[in-house]
Parts: sequence; structure tokens; C-alpha cells
Amino acid sequence: MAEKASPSSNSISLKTVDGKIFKVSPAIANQMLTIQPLIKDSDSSTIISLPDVAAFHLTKIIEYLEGKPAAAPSAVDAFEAQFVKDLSPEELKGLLIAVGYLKVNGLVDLMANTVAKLIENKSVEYVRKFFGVVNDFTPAEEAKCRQEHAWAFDGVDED
Amino acid sequence: MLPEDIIIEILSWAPTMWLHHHARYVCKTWAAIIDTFHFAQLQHDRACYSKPPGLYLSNSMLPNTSYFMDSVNGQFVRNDLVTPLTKGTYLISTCDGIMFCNCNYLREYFVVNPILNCSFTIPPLPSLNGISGFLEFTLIRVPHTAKFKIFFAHSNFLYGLTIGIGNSWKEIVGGKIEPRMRMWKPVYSGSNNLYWPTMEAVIVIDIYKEIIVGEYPLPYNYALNYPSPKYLWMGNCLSSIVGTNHDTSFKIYVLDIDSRRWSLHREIGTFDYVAAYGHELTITTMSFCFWMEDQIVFKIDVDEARTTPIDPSTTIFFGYNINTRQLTKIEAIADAGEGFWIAWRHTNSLISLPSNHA
Repeated sequence: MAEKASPSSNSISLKTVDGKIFKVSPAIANQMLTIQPLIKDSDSSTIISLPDVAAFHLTKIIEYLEGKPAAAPSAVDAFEAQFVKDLSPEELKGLLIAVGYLKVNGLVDLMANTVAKLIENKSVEYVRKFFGVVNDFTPAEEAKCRQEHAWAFDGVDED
Repeated sequence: MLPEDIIIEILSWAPTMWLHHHARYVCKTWAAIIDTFHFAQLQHDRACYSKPPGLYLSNSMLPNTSYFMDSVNGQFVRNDLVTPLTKGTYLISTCDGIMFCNCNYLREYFVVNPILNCSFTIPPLPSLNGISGFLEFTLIRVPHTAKFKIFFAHSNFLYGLTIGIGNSWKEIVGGKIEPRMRMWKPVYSGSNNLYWPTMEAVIVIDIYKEIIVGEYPLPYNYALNYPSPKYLWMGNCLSSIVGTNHDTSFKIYVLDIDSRRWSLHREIGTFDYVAAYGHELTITTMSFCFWMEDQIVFKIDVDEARTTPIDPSTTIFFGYNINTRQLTKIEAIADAGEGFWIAWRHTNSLISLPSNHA
């Protein structure tokens, strides 16, 4: 995963799957838990390759990690809302995979929560389409499942 | 396709009712995820972060009009989940989505998850004589486990029961107590300790070991105080609210565990109902319900709507912020309708119970 690069300051070099190299400070890189152990052993000439992360994703992740601490405590919610505001469903899913792979502090929760808001209270068909999930229930299995989870209290009034 | 651990992260933020009635049918993988205890616990923890908390409004006069409220974008929103309470059935205690109820007709006690199709009948009590059916019990979940326990105080003894295990009440070691126990509902800290206030001390029960591990003094001299105080869990400590001056003002004490002392935290009252509600109220009873951040939620029963003595009374809920000293009518639940209402902190969950038939 690591290869040698020309020495520079003590920044960490991260290489995305589409070949772009980003230089980030150790403070930023350390918040990506997956690469933390690699940072310890690396010197300034090391380049860490990130197989599941595209340049677009890493740009957003760095934007988050730099922007959140800079926001006043009362402005964190507004910053997070702004951060996810213009992302399309496809971008959200791709970013969530990247964030999940890198295990970025705080960002997994924000992204997962944002995606949850898009699908909550939507129909089963909508959700399948959204995630590209194939229904693997047979009609009989689904009927059985629905029967098992029927409400214990059907609303029939005893009075 | 997203990896399964990412799906778990996403679904753990979704609403409980939707998960149970829709997400479960997306595919078998999702159904399996939603059925695991790990997921139910994660999802419940996250639902509990929401502010305000979820609520259950129970009406002891017309039990079947009781209802649930979810927290949606910082507001209480009524949901359409059917109440498990029917005529003659009362809620005793609620914990992590599980409700502990008493059915008077059948002289039966049961626990139920109102979302999942599961309820569990509690084995017969060690004794039934002189039970109010309310103050003597509490239901708690052992933290980080699927285990629920009921603690019960009766005629000088304390008992514990783990639901679905052993099927019998166990006497609590060191649980022989003076006949002074039946005064207050126990207060659960959410971790190791259950606090059971009596007339002489606050007894502490270790919920893991089911033994009495100590006691704390009372915040006041009992004999000098009537009516009796209310004990409520306040974020991270035990609070006691004592009425003074004919219940127009109150002293809030908090217990410091290390120094074993109560200290006066705030004095609150006299409440300005005209500003908060629009006009004067003729209050018949008042009772503190729970803490919600810096707000203490209380209810008052008023009889202003009565034109004849048999007309029902109504309940109005208020929140008083101890920092800003502001009294506000809790709009969403302020006028629940006729009856005697109690508000409970209750957030529905997918945590399941053992089956009686297993």
C-alpha cells in the first residue's frame, strides 16, 4: 500500500484510486482510523494508497476534517448541514463507502444519518431502487414474514 | 451495493416503526440485520439521542386513548402505533421500549414491546396482598444486554426477577427491610444502581448482583415535610423535589454520591400560569413527571371544564426551565383531552423479549 515519494515537510501523502496525490497534515490523517497505523511507520517520503477512495471523496473528507474544528461550537450543525447539502444520492453513497473504509471520526455518523433521512418513510420499492438491492424473498416467504410480525394489538376496541 | 456494515450504520438512524413495517421487507439481509440484538440496541441508543425524547401519554381513565409520541426534528409528533393498554390495564414502568403493565381483570402482569409482536407474562408475584400495583415495581434493562429485570418490594422484602430466566422471583440478599418501603417509586440511574427511596433512607440496589449495596440519607427531615417529595433522575444524578409553602414553590435537591450529601440545587416557583397558559387555572393536583435537559416537566389536573361534579377533569403539561426560569406549556401534549394523563419518557425500540411459549 505504501511507496516512496520525494521528501517534503512532515505532511502525509495520500493517493486516491483515480491517481491523485493529496498532502495532508498528520493531524488530519490521524482522524482516518484505517490509515493511522500506517502513519506511525511512515516518513515524509511515504505515499499511502487508498483503494476505495476517489479524489472527489478525499477532497470532501479533508473539507470536513478541516472545516469542523474551525466552526464555532454553535455553528457545527450549520456546517454539517451545509457539508451534505449539495450532494446527490450517488455522491452520498460513494462518499459513505469512502468514509466507512477510512473510518473517519464523526463523518460516518453524519453521512449515515443523511442517507437515512433520504430513505426513511419511503416505500420498500423505492429503497430497493435507491440501493440497487434485489428482492430475494419469494412471495410465500414474504407473506410468512409479514404474518410473524403482525401487530400484537390490532386496534380492536374491547369496550 | 453498499457493504453490510455501512447498511447497519444507515439503518441505525432510521425510525423504529419504518424499520419494522417496511425496511424489513427490502431483502433477507436487511431482515436479518433488523432482527439482531446488536442492531436493536444500536438503533435504540441513537433514537434516544434525539431531543426531545420519545413519549408515551397514558390515560388511566380511558386507557385505550393512550398514545405514543416520537421525536421528529426537535418536535413531539404523535405516531399511529396502537396502545397496548385496554380497559383495566395500566402501565407500571417503561424502559428501552419495553412496557411493564398490570391487567386488573386477569390479575396478571406482563411486559410487552408494542412494536414487535411479543409480550411476556410475568410469573405470579410472591404475594398479592395490599399491592397498589404501581409504586412497588420497576422495570430496567441490564445495560448492554437483552436482559430485562423487574424489582418488586413487598411486606418487608425485596425481590428481583430476570424476564425469561428461571421464571421465579428471587429474594434480594440483604433485602429484609422495615415496613417503610412502599412509599416511592424506585429511580434507575441507567447504569449499576437502582435507588429506592424510603421514609428513612435511599436504599441502593446493585442491579447486576441483585443485592443491596448501601444507603444514602434523605435530603430533608421526613416528619417535617408533607406532602412527600418526588424523586427523579436528572441527567447524571438523583434529584428530589420537595414542595414548600403549600406546593406553590419547590426546592430541588441533588445527591452527591462521593460526599453522600444532598445539596440544594434550585428553588423554583411560583409559576406564572397566566403568562404560560393564557389565564388562571384552578389546580386540583400537580405532579412532576421527568427531566428533559434543563426542563422539569410536570402536569396539573384542572377542573375548570367541569360544570357538574361528574364531568371529567383535564390534564395540562408544562415544562419549567430551571436556568431561564421560564414556564412553557408543552404544546404537543398540553391538552391531551379528557382523563387523567401521565407522561412517560418512552422511546420505542426493536429490542425483543423472550417468548412465554419458547
